[in-house]
Parts: sequence; structure tokens; C-alpha cells
Amino acid sequence: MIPAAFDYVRASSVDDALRLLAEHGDDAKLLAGGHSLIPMMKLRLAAPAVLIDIAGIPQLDGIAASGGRVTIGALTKHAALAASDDLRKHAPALWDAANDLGDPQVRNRGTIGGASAHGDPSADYPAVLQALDATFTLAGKGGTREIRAAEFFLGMFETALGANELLTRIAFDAAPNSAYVKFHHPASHYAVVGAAVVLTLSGGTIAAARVAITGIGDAAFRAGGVESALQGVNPNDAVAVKAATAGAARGVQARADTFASASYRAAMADVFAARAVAKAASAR
Amino acid sequence: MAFTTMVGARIRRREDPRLITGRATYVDDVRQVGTVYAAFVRSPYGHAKITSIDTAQAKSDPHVLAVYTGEDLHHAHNLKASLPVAHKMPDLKTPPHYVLALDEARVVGEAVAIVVADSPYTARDAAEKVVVEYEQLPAVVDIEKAAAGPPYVHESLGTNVAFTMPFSAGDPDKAFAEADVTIKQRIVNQRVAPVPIEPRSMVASYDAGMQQLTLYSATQIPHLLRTQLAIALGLPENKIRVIAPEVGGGFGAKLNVYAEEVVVSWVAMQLERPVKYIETRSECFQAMIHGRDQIDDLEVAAKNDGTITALRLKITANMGAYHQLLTPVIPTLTMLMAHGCYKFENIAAEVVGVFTNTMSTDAYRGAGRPEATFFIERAIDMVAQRLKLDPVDVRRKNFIASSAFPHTTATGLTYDSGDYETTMDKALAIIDYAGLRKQQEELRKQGRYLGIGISTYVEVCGMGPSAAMPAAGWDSATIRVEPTGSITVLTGVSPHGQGQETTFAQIVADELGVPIDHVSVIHGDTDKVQYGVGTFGSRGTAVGGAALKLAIDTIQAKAVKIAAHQWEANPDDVEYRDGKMQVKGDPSKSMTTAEAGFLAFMGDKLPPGLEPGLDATRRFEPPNFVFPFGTHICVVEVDAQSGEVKFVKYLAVDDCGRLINPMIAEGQIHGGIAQGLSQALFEEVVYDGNGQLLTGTLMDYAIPHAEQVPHYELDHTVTPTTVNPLGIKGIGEAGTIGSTPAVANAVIDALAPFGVVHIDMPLKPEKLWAAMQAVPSNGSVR
Amino acid sequence: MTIDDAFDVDAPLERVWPLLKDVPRVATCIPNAEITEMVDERTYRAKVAVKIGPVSVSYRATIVVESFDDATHVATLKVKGDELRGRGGVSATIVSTATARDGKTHVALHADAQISGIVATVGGRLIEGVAQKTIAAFAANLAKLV
Repeated sequence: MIPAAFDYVRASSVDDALRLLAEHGDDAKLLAGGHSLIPMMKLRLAAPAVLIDIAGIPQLDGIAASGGRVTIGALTKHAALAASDDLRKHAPALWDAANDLGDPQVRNRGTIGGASAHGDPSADYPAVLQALDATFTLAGKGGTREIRAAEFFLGMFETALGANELLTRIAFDAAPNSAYVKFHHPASHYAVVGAAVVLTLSGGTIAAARVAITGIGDAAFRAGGVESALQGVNPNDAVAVKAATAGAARGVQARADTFASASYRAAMADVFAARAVAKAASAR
Repeated sequence: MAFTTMVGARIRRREDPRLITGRATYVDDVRQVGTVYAAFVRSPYGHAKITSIDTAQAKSDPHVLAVYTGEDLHHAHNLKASLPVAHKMPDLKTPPHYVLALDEARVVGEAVAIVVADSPYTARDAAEKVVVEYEQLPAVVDIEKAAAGPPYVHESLGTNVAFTMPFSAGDPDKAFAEADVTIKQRIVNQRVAPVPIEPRSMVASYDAGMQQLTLYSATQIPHLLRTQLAIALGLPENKIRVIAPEVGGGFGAKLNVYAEEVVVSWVAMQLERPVKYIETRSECFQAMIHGRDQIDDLEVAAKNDGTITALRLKITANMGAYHQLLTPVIPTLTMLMAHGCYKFENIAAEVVGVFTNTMSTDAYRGAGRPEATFFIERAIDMVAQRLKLDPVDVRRKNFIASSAFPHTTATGLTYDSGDYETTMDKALAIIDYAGLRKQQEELRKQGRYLGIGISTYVEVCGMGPSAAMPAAGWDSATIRVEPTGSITVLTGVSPHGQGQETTFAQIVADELGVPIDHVSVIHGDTDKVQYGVGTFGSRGTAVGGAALKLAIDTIQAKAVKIAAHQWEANPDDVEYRDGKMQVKGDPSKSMTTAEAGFLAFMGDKLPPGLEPGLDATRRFEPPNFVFPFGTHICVVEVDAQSGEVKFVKYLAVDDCGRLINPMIAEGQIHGGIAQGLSQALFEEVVYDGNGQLLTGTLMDYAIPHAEQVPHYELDHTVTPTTVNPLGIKGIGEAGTIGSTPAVANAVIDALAPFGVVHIDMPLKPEKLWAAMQAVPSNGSVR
Repeated sequence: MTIDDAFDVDAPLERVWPLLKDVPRVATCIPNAEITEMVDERTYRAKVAVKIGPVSVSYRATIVVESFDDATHVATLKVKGDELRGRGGVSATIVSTATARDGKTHVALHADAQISGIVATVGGRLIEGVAQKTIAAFAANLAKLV
């Protein structure tokens, strides 16, 4: 668990980080909380020549909820999300994920931006942020651009974040009827399957739903078929919800590992999507 | 017996303040001037010929002091050491096990070369510059394929079978012929990794002037390690000092002599510099011994009333690529304990040890006994299921009666004492077994699957009588009453979490009448402590504590003579009472052990012929093993949608004889249960067909977090033993042994409506989910 | 492990097949691969890096042409790679079968690969995905080359 040699520089601002990225190019990696990158470096599977530490950049940290919109700085730590009453009220799905993620060390160091930019196919946030239909703000040399979560997560460890860009902010509309439930891998505690659901309820039935699943394929995905099947369903009708969530991972090539086969993973997508629907409906 | 204040008290561990405040010294905390650092180059292949090793680039690195290969050690430096295996098997095949691979590597992670540099970082960098050319050879991982062979792990043996040991008692064939039912089941006891928090760690230094080698190592057996180092390095044993400082978990995996310990010591002698090596977690997964890995094929004969009459058993045990210290011995313990706590007379068994291209198996908490308990406790449940009897009744029917002790089993062990029915009844009452069964039935109607698992275990520990051990089984203790009255205990056992700094002090405090703070317990340093065998096999207190009791007796006898002389009394009339000496029936005069110790130091008021000083060294040779037992009951609910297992309750009623410190005993049980249930549900070392380790990190290999284990409800009964003067049995491994079958029986009981008879561990959700795809017999909806 | 994949190239078989036999040119289609030496007609040395997110593992590889069957359009290559840090390797037999399909060329890949060392131990869950991505990129590059 001894990494190869590397240089370390601290970025003082977003512009400084972008300048350093441009200067060091491909050899550099951004370091936020470090809880995804550093384990890879310790195994020497990653050996960046330079680490650009962005953890100290001011104004990228914090949760703001106003006017039905929630905005989160990219350097906000999991622990801060997990402790946020605003989040618990306005986006319980994200609050669930932050509370159910990693261990205290990871939650106290890791950040929402770092975890998202890492693009791990078994991470929790990619599902939650897609279900929340979040918007990501990316800073680059020529200014900033915005991109929706569904277009951000492209594949295994692959995101739309450019080589010379920095993720600065994540924003979404409040979703009080939302939930995230997760099947923990017993060792890594990453999601074997994780399901995030955002519901719009109307008169006891589901008017609209957004459902996203992580852990199954190369990247988290929106389960469009389930979303439309849930329309008009009473979320407390377990049989109807089960029918609507069936085939949640249809069309997605599920992965296998020593813990779970591809077919089991796919079957669990249905089960956990149904659980997330029930939980989202009862969230207040 | 002395008046008791400390023994039996739940006092806090005296070890803990330094441990929990970061003031303890582990091997990696040992700082010596001029220390250099080792990194090992390890084989990435399960089986490969080493065609060339190019060390030039690594040697030219300015940070590097030395690089050695197997070839260097064997030819240039004449170190032909093969690692030891302790056994008493006449026909055991013992292929050479060199400390660095020579010509061929037979397991992923086998050390091929050592690089020594000026920092751990430069050492790791330089290790990558050693270019090893391998030619892959066919690997064999599956035990049964290996037994049938080829390919062979050791071509020169012409077989992969290390040994075959048959055993028979009674008339099993007749019993099977007369049986009402027979049940045949293959039970796989999967390979697990010990994963102590502290991996293997060592620092060796050599004082060339004194010709003295000192090795700090995270070991459970400092003296045995010293002896083996003397043999391996060709040094006089009195020129070697081994120190086990704080050891961060052993679980049997540090009851060994590892190649790295020999190589690092040897390199320190070459360089005359302290050489430190702390293995990485990845290396620990590859190159620290693994546990279990047996296929147990069993066949049980029973009568319709549940009486078990005979057992046929074939144990096929994976040795790994080489023998480590006790590798072949472990499965023989399984065979010896095949009876569990049941009294059947007829048994036919065979143990086969097989080499494969995997890491060596060896002692891991329970070491051979968990495997036996697992299959016999599963067998009892299978008999009950087949005959539609309550598993409690089948146990009751077959228990060795409490009146039948000492009881000699068909496999030849003499169980010292036991009362299996009492612990079971106590457990059943506490958990309201009848109520649970009713609840189970109710929930099944709702499509919810509760499972109740019972394990009534007995295990063999307090290792052990020297005649029955692969090497010495005794242990030692020295007590010194210092001139100012403090008492120093030097114990030959080497505690690393078992709490003997506390429990031994409790015993001494009571028996010699001193405040516990005046007692210091020293261990783990071969230059300080007289030879001792070490800590393993739940022997620390049962053997080391017994030696301590003998030393106390000697101290007391001498102190009594000193006191009697002052009072001009007959020593026979002086006794220890409430921790002080007094003339029998006359409390007006008394003397403390400290006072006697001071007189013994001054030397001028001693009875004629009595030597000055008040100290004693004694050794205890156990006349028998001890056999702790108990009942564990586990209640789980299995989610029919996902196969996830949720703990509902966990109760353990254990009996380890007299308790010195119930809190420490409970701590041992807690940890033991955690490791045992973890084997049942989570853990499994997986190699692929080429001998590649697929579970080599904590991302893949599951060690339970706090949230993954249940709340433990504990109770106990007390059935003392006469094997040792303290009346105690070991408790270090009981939790591991008792818990695994309790959890497995619970999970499988939950799945009974689906016609499930047995599922192999680990009981992963997917396996349970797949089994639950059947239509349940009670017709309820899932 | 075995990997099966297939892709179509928008060019006739007569143009694709000669290309598939041209190892140095085909190699340029593999992301992060480079032929460093032609040992003989059938043997090449190469440097290959496998990159995924922050992970980067580099190999020095030997590629041996087992056979090019002009009648059936089956190419069989043997690849043996050693990780540059000495922590394992890859050995694989790759069989590519090219068939004409409506004026285009369908290429089916079948690989028998043995992965050893660090990647086998810690990268198990990634291997399949990486293989698929690599093949997809290869197909795209090959199409461009045609």
C-alpha cells in the first residue's frame, strides 16, 4: 500500500486549478477528498505524476436551499450532506445516499463532486443525481457550462467532464418525495444495486416518477420503462408497484463479480426499485 | 482456596489504556537508528518456472542496499533453509519449502526476491525494477482434481496427496446396515483469510560485535520462532532474541514461522543494519496462511427416534502449495472432534491432505474444530429435518450424559467434564424457544421466513499434553517478589489480545494478597522470559495460567517458611488466609507476601538452609486437553425478495469452567462469534482456475462491520475441569466454533419450507434467493 | 476468461481482410498501443497501456501471428504481455473471423485470455467492461482506417 512518487500542488482558486490542469496536462489528477483516487494509487494502479489538491478552494463548499431549488458546492463532504436538515427535507434521496455511503472516514473526507467526477459504476450519487435530474456546473478555461446528470455519467469511470474542466456545483429542484435504497456489497459497501426514486404524487397516485439505478452496468442509468409504468400507480399498492418496477434493468448489460451474478443483479434492480418507490412515497 | 476479590471480577483490561490512546508499541513503532526497509518481489502466477531474474537495474538504484534472490541465498550464501512443519505423521510428504522461491513458484504471492532500500517507498519502487521472467506452468486449484492429479504442485513427488490417514472404530458397516435412515451430504468448509488488523510485521537487527540477532516480530510464539530461526540460520539459539511487542491480532495466523522472518533476519546479518518489513494488506491476503478449506463428505446412520448410530466421513483438506508450521495437523483435529457432543460409537473416517497452487492453510481461530462442529451440527439438523423431529430433541437424544464424564470418544479423546443438556436448557429458556417456533409458524403464513439455528458445540483446547502435540504442549511461569513488594510475573505464553496482563494479575493479586497494581505481567521477549510455548489453541490461561498457579504455590510455600521462622512456629501451622499469612486460628500476627519477600531479600532472618530471594519458575504439563462447550442459538429472517439475511437474535450460553474475568471472557466470545458468523455469511477466499487470487483486497473480501453483526446476548454455566489447578477451560476459540453452525442452521431452517436441506457457505443472498424461487411447501405467497 | 464480441466495418471484405493481416497498421487501431519492434514476419513487440478512469496499467507485449487463413478469413494471434511493474501479465489467443455481409464486413472476435497478478486480483469487475470498450474503440478506428 505504498504509492509511486508524485508531486503535490495546492490550488487556491478555481482559476488556479484550471491553470494547473492546463500546465500539467494528462499527468495530473485532481484531488478532492481522495477516497477514490488514493486507494488506486496505493495499489499503483494509478500513478499520476502530479496531484492538484482542490480541497482548499473556497466557496465550493456548502448546501443552499431556496425557492424550491437546492444547490450544493462540489467540495461539500458526504458528512455535511448526511447531517443536513435541508437535504433531509428537500431531497431525502440524496440524504439517504450520503448517510448510507462508505464509513465515517470516507464521509468525513470524501466530497459529492469528487465521487461524482470519479464515475464509479457502483457509486451511489450517479443514480441519485440522475433521479433528481440534477444540473452539473463545469468550469473550464472559457467559462462555465451546465450539463444534466443523465448526460454526465457516460460509462465506467467515464464522465462528460473534460480533461481541463472542474466540477464546481450541483443543483436540482427540491424533491420531497424521493428516496434511495441500496443493497450493500458486504465488503466494499458500494452498491450491488442502488435505486433512487423521485415521485410527484397527486391524489394518492404517482403523477410522475424518475427512477435511476446504479451498480448494475457500466454506469448508472434512468429506468425509463419503470418511470412510465409507475404513472397512475398507487405507491402503497405493493402488487402494482412490483408490476411497474419489473424489468428495471432491461436493456442494460449487467456485470458479474464474485459476489453477485449478472442475472441476480438485474433481478435485484426490480426489488430495490420497488422498495425505493415505497420509501419515496412515505417520505415527508 | 484463597479469599477472592479479583478473580471473578469484571475489571477493565489493564492493557487497554495504552492501546486506545495510541501509546502501545507495535512492530512498526519500533524505531532503530540506521533502519533500512525491505520489499519482496512476489510471483504473480499460481504456478510458474522462474527462467531468469535480472536484478541489475534494481541494484543500480542509488537508494538500494541489496537485492537477493533464491539463487543467491541457496548457492552464494549457503542458506538452504526449508521452513519447518511440526507433525508426527510417519508418511507425510514434506517437499522443500525454501524461504525464497528457487527455480519454481507454486503460489501467487510466493516471495521470489528481496530488495532492501533506504525507505519503504524506495524499496517498493526498486522491487518493480527486478525483472523476473516466468514460464507459466499448469496450475491446480480444485482439491479433488489435485488429488487425482496431474498436474502436480511438486513434480518430484509424483502426486498431490500429502498424506492419507484412515480411522475406524466400532462397526460402522453394521450400524449403517441396521439404520432406519441414512443421510449423505457433502459439506464444503470454504477457505477464509484471517485478516488481522496488523499484517505480518518484523524488524531484525544484528549486533556483529556481540554476534547477537534480535527480531521483533508480530508473532504468537516468540520462543518457538527463536528455536526455528536458530535451526534455519545455523545460529546458536542463545544468540537470538525474539520479541513480540504489541501484536495486532493473530487468530492463529501468527502461530507460524514465515519465510519473510527468516529472510529479513538473514539480510540484517549480511548488512549489519536493522531491516524492517511491514507487509501490505494485499501481501497479507496472498502470503499469510489461510484457514479451513475442506470438503467433508459425510454419511450419518440414525434410528427413527433420532438416535445417531454411526458416521462415515471423508475429509479432503487443502494444504495449499507448501506446508507451513501446522498445515497437515489441522484436518486431523477435525477428525478427532467428529463426535461433537454426541455419543455414537461407530465411525469410519479418512483424512486426505492435498497440495494445490494456493496459499498454505493452517491454524485459524478454531483450527480444525470449527469444521467438525460445523458438519456434525448440520448433520443433527438434517437428521431432525428428515425424521420431522425437533432439532432440540435430536440433540437431547444423542448428548453424552452429564453423568458419563470423563468420557472417552470413539476417536480416542477423553472429554474432561461437561453438562451439555444444562447449557442447552438454559439457552432454550432464555430465548423462549417454544415461543420462537410459534412465531416462526405465524410468520411463514405471511410469507416471512424466520429461521432458528441451534449449535451445541464442544471443542478441544488448552493445547495440550506434550505427548499429543506436534511439539511441546507445556508452558511456564515465573513469579518474582521484588524487594519492595511489587510482583513480577514472567509468562511463557504470548498474549496478543487475550488479556492475560489482567487475568494473571487478578489471580496473583488474590493468591498472594497484593493490590493488582503491584503486579506486572511480562511476556513476549525471549531475553526476559523463560522458554514458553506461546499463545494459541485456547491455551493461554488453561496452560500458562496453570503454570502460574504452580508458581504461586511454590512462592506461598516458601513465604510460609519465612513467616513461620519469624514467629518460631511450625510451618505446617502457618497458612495463607485472606491474602496474608497467619498462624492457624491466631489472627493476632500476620505477614504479607511483600513482607516475606523483603525478608527473603535481606537474607539475614531466614530459616537455616533456606535460600535468599522469593521467586519461582514452574512449568505445567497438562495431563489432558480441556473441552469447553455451550449452546448458541441464532435467529434470522431471510428476505424472500432478495435473499438478504437479517439477524433477529443471537444468544450464546458458554461453559468454560471457572471464569477469571467474565468481561474478558465475553470479549473473547464476542470476537469469536463475529468471526464465526462471518464465515457463515460473508467470507470466502476465491482463486480462479489458474491460481489467481480474486479476493485480494478488502473491497472484495468481506470482514463484517459493526452494523453487520447482531447484538450478542450472553450467559454461561460453570462446569469446572480437574485437568488444571485453576479449574478453567479456554474460551478464545469457542465463539468461532459455536457460531458458524448456529448461523448456518438458522438460515437453512428459514428456507426449510422451500425444501432446502443444505447450502454451502458463505450463505450469500444470491444462493438463498435462488433457493427461494421454489414454491414454498406451506403454500404462502412470497 | 473468454471474450466474444463483434463489429461491422463499412467496407467490403476484400479491403478489410488485407488490413486485418497488417499487424503494424491494425495495432494503430488499438487505443494506447504501439508496435516497438518487428522481430520477424510473424513476431512483433509492442507497448500497450490499458487506461480506465484514473487506472493505467502498461504492458510490454509480444504478438505472434499464428495463422492467417485467406480461404476462411480467419486470423489467429497470440499475445503475451508482462505488466511493466512486474506484477503480472496477460496471455491471450485472439481469433478474428471476417465475413462479407451485404457489401460490408462483419468481424467476430473470440479471445481466450488469462489475466494474472494485480489486475486479476483487484480489477476483476472492470475487465469485461474494459475489453468491450477497447473493442468498440478498435472497431471505430478500423472503420476510419478503411
